[in-house]
Amino acid sequence: MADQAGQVDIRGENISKIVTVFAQKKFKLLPLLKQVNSSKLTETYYKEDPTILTASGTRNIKGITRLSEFPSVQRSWTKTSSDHIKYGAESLISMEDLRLNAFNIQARSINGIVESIVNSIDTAIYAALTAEGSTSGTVGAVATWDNATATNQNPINDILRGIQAMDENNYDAMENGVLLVNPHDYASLMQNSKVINNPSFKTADIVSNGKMGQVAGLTIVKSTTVTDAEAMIIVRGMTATWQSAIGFETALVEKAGISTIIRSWQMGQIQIVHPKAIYTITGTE
Amino acid sequence: MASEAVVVETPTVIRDFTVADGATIEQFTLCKLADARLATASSGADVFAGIAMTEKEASDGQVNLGLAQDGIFELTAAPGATTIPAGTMCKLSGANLIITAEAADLLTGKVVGKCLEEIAPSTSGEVDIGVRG
Repeated sequence: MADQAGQVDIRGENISKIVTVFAQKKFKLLPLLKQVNSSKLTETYYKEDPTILTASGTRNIKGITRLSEFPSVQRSWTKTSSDHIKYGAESLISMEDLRLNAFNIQARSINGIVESIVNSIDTAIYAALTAEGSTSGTVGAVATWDNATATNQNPINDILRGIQAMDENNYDAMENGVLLVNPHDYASLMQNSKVINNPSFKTADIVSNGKMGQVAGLTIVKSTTVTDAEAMIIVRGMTATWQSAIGFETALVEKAGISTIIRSWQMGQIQIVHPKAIYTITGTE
Repeated sequence: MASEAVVVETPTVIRDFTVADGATIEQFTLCKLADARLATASSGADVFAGIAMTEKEASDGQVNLGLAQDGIFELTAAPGATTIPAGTMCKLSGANLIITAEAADLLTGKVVGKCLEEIAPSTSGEVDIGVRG
């Protein structure tokens, strides 16, 4: 229908080519792992028993007399094998949408696909860290970090007990230790007087890639991947290894004149090589 | 309309069907088939034509619409119907809704595809679309 002055269809309209409201999820957990390249599907590694060796039976490391035999000690290793996992997704876009849409739909689609892979890998990493059975402990917080009674909140105690547990297993969390928290627990930490008045607390003057300050010698990393009501202490570059078989790759599968499938993928696996360098605090909220 | 399909695995065969210029069809609408090669939005226990891969606006000058003939989609089971077991063939039952198919539906072309998981009434589950039976 032809429109006259005052009718809707002839009113002016500017359409922005800049897409708004996109929140890019960044790799938060992957950079905390030791990065190793792999060229085979299956990766095998050995987990060393971190128990300090002692002499068996009646023998003792201390006090061997002249000409006596030494006590025998044996370290043990567990062989662990696992295959790389492929992470990927694709989007089908018609030729018309690809070339004639209001904004660059190809770039935004690739961005969305990559973000979905990033999210999936970070989720898998956290799930693997959580599933590990031989850690330095999974211990409930003294009280929730957002406890209605402020005096009951004591995250510093929970964190220091975690550092202590790792120390007792000969892992020094003061060297490259990281405290993983979700946004809720981060907010609880930042308004807790015991945290911000602790001499070890450093404010977020080094904000980059998720680093949000330090407390008790641990760098705080905030991620939505961390499970609700849970915080975790790990050691950067030591606790686990990311074996990367295939880095991020993207392909455009074109059906000339019809459509393009935008496909991205990555392949790798997490290996938890130092399980005792993990400590989980539960019941934080 | 509501309960449009959700793509789980990208379809590889998308074929044009005739549509009325005045029709409005949302993207991922389950479409029914009428003579000759005419697609409209499903509304009952119709003959299945495919799933609309693009949106069709009323009076936009387009008289063809590409419908997916394969691929895996999440579809919604009709409320009040019985649960569709995994592995069962399903058919149309109202706008974007499916129910368990019967043997005769294979011959009349009403089958939408094979349910890859159990789908309870008013919930959605994965269906392997198989227009060609």
